[in-house]
Amino acid sequence: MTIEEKIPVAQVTPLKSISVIWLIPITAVLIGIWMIYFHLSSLGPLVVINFKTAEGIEAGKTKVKIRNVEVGLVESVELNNSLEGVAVTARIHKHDQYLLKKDTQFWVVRPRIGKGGISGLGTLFSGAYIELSPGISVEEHYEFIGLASEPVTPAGTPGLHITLESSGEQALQIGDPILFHGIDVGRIEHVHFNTEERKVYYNAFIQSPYDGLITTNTKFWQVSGIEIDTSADGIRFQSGTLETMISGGVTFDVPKDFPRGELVTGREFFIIYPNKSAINESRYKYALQYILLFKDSIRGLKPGAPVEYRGIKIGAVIRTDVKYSEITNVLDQNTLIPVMITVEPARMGFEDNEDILPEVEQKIAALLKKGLRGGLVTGNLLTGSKYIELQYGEDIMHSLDSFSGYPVIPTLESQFEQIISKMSTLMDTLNKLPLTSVVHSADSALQQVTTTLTEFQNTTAQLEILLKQSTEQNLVASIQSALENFKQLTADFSEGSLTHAELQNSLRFMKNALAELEPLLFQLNQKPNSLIFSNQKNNDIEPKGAE
Amino acid sequence: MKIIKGLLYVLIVLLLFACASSNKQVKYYSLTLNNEYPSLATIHQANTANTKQPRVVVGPIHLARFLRQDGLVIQIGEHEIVTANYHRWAEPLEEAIAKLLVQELNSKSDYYQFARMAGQWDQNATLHLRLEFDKFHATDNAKIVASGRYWLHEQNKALRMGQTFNVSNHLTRDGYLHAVEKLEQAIGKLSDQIIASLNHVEKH
Repeated sequence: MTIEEKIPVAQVTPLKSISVIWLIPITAVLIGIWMIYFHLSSLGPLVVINFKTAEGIEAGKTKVKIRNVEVGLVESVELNNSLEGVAVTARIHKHDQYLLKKDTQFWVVRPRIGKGGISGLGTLFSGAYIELSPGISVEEHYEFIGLASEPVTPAGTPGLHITLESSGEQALQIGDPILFHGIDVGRIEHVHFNTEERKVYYNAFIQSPYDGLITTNTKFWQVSGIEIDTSADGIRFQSGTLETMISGGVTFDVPKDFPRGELVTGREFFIIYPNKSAINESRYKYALQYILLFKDSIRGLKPGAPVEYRGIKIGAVIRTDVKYSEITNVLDQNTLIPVMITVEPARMGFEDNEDILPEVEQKIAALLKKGLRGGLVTGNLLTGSKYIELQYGEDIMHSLDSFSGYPVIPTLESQFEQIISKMSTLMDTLNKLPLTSVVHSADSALQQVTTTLTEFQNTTAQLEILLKQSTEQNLVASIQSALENFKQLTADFSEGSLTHAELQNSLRFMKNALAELEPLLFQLNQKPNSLIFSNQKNNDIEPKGAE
Repeated sequence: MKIIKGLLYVLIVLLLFACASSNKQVKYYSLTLNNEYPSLATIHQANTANTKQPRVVVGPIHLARFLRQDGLVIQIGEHEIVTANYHRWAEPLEEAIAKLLVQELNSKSDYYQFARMAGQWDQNATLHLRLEFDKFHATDNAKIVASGRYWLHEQNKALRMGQTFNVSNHLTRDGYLHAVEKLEQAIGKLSDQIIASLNHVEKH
């Protein structure tokens, strides 16, 4: 037997079933897949927010918050393709996904110092974060343009959006207040300058319930700091709130003599007037234009100055310049200074429409023939402001019917020239007076009066001497008489006289009586009952002689 | 009944007797009763003969507070003063002393002419004699004392000299009358001292 025959040969049998051990990795893989699915299914959507700058924003750190509650986290910050901004990608929590609407707003909250105060101080320590303002739209959206700062009006705030138009020199800023009787009822949200129209348009928001104050007749005007107006009406001082004094603002109201108008519900256009008085200035649309030609200085007369008739404003001065074709040399002494005015028929009780203008023009022409003239009147002595007063007079300065195509209202002499004329007349009258003869007569009369007064003075002096002598004589006699009487009186009481002796006797008697009473008084003082009960022991102590 | 009425009458009479008291008599004393005034003729003669005599005005006389009253005073022990109720001066004491002193001085000096001060300071007097009495009374140890100070002033009130006096006399009998006599004698002794002082002033 060989060795090979002795060794048993193993019979290899292939396995027919998978080992149980494989269950472990399979289970692990399944758990892993489930975990990945769970993770992916719990992730919120990614949103891309485009900002101008990524200042303060860091990937993996900066949070997205709403009312200080975290709703997401910035995952990446990248420059956009045009290099004009940054694209911030943030993941919003799944359960906050409903906040992502088309009008949802994002802005970065940083420490900020502005007109409205200091905000975002908390981010000094916690770092900047992105604030989310949820929209009200139903359409979902995942790419947004981030705001540079906090929106003036959060989306969904009830109120009214209006557009204001201004051609004034003072511009408003985003966030400037809109006031009603000093109450902050809205804000300027957006500013747009139209270069073609050279006007500024402001989108403003009036918050509820103040949006009910906006009607078709509502007028807006600027309130900016302190306003001092020195017009012909005097000095007017007006100031707004502290905020408007710093940054400006707009206020509105319906003028008192206007109807309230219809309530505005949609976006409407309104004009911003430079001040409240400007509303009244431009409230009437139709006016007649006239020229007044003045020989005097028109210093103090400014465009906007009133044209009055018996104190009623019927128009306004609109031009005081000399850019007319008829004026070739202003420095010529015969050149008259033109002043263009408007006369508004509506201010005289007529209707404010175009059809009434020819009728009013004819009536004014008829009045001019009756002597209606225009004159310069000083309205305010302090500021020297002037206005045009229409009045009836006879002194016609010129007889032009029209000037540069406008009808002319003849003018009167100015107040100063009238005063000069009256002074001249007065001086002529004074010159005609026979002053020399009057002065001579007066001088003669005065000399006579002086002589008379001197004589009267002498007479008075003599009379005074006489009175003095008489008085002195009477006085001496009176004194002598009084002295004699006094002498008689003293003689009656002098030593040796009967009266004196009687007085002496009386005094002596009284003295003796008192001396007699003294022991008795002493005794009564010592023993009050001694009047009834005698006291033999109450004797004086007497001196004793030496033994 | 009659007996009761009788008893009542007796009782009333006894009560009236009980109320009855003997009337105490007040006695008045004067220092000047014994001195005789010179007649007017004598005074006139003296005035004409001695027109150049130095005139000495006596007064004012100032008494201690307890002497400025009408009752005579007796000193009991060292500090007690008793004023008599029934023994009184007949006139103010300073007046009586002035009268007596002027009499005494005039009687003892032929060189000076003494007169009482009449109201104001006499501008015509050569000298003024001003006196102040601290004591002028009897004591319980059988003595009278008269003590004080006097001053001699010139016409212009300038002081020439000042002197104290202290005169005492023993009482040999009881009663105020004897004491008044001794006080009168004390004034006499005081006048002697004043004359001596005047002579001393005259010499100097």
